[in-house]
Amino acid sequence: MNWTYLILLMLLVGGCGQSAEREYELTPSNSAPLSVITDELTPSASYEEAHAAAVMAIGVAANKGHAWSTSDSLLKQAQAAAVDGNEDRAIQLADQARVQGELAAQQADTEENVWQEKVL
Amino acid sequence: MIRVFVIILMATGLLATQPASAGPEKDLQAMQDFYQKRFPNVAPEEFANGLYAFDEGARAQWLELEDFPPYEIAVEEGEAYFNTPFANGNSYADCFENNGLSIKQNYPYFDNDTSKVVTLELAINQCREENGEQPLPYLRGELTAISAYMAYTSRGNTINVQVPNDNPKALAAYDAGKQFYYSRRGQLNFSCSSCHVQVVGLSLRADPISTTVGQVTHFPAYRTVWGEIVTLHRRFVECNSQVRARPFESQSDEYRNLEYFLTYMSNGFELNGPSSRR
Repeated sequence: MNWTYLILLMLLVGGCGQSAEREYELTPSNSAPLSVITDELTPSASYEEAHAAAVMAIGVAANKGHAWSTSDSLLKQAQAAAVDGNEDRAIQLADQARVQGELAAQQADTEENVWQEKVL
Repeated sequence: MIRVFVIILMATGLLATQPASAGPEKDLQAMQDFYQKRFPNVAPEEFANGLYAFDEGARAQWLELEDFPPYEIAVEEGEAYFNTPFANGNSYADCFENNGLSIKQNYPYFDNDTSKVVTLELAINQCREENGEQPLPYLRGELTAISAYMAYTSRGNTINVQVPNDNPKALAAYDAGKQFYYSRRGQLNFSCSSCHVQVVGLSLRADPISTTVGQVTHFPAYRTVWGEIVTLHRRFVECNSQVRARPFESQSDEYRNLEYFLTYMSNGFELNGPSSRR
């Protein structure tokens, strides 16, 4: 096998291709895609509660310098769904945003401890 | 087979070689050694040409593009802006040493008065504010053109960024930039080094990934995909966005510290900007 293809295969399986869902455990099903993880979460009681929790979680990640753009996007979509009166969807999206905020904060904490291992 | 094994170790991040607290000079040496071993057939000075150092086809296209450089208009506009006096009669030339010409090799630098890294773009806006003018937007337009002109006048000069070993605050800024470079971020969980160190030379879509050393020499750069000339910080914003991280503001402390580290890693390289990239 050409070694270039072998390396690309390795990257797809691990290394650069690692997704946050695989690297950081929030639920026992940590190898599942994030959408599956959040589907398994108990929905927040209300949109207001879900939104407040998401804003807080994203804020924690942002203060650590590791906020994800995807959680910002999810929060905007949640707000739009709430405006449209689709509360269930708004809660689901806000909960996903919260989970991503928590994952981002975990990423920040992890990297604080491991970044030096990658220095040349 | 050994070569394959070593490259796999590099690609998967299992090949750490020295502690992070080695200091700027040792960091630079380790970085240069790494790329020379990774690309033994590439002359070190070629790393200033980015991916064109090791992709002959892309290099040929780039050299043809340089016959009629797409950044030329920005340089001419930048020169006109640079030479236009402020309302108080002063000009940019009054703010910089050597009248602002041929000085980019000294940027960024650590300013002891503010304990911050000062980039050339930041200094341009500081000059404006000191002369009663409004600061310019950082991501595009007039400021980028002025920066391009000043870079053009500095072509051929050797990058010589200083991180004094006896200045703990400067070292802290350098280390913060270094930590940023090696820290994974965003939903895709990539660091700068994930691409530019671990899988350097391999392709992301159609383009081989460039080396860390020599990476800053050609900015501001005309990006074909955007159809305009862009600053280094706008490239940072793009990189962070591509890994689905919330990008920082242009000229934020984070990006200035990153520029400090990244430019130090190009010490000894000649400035060759503005240039063009895909």
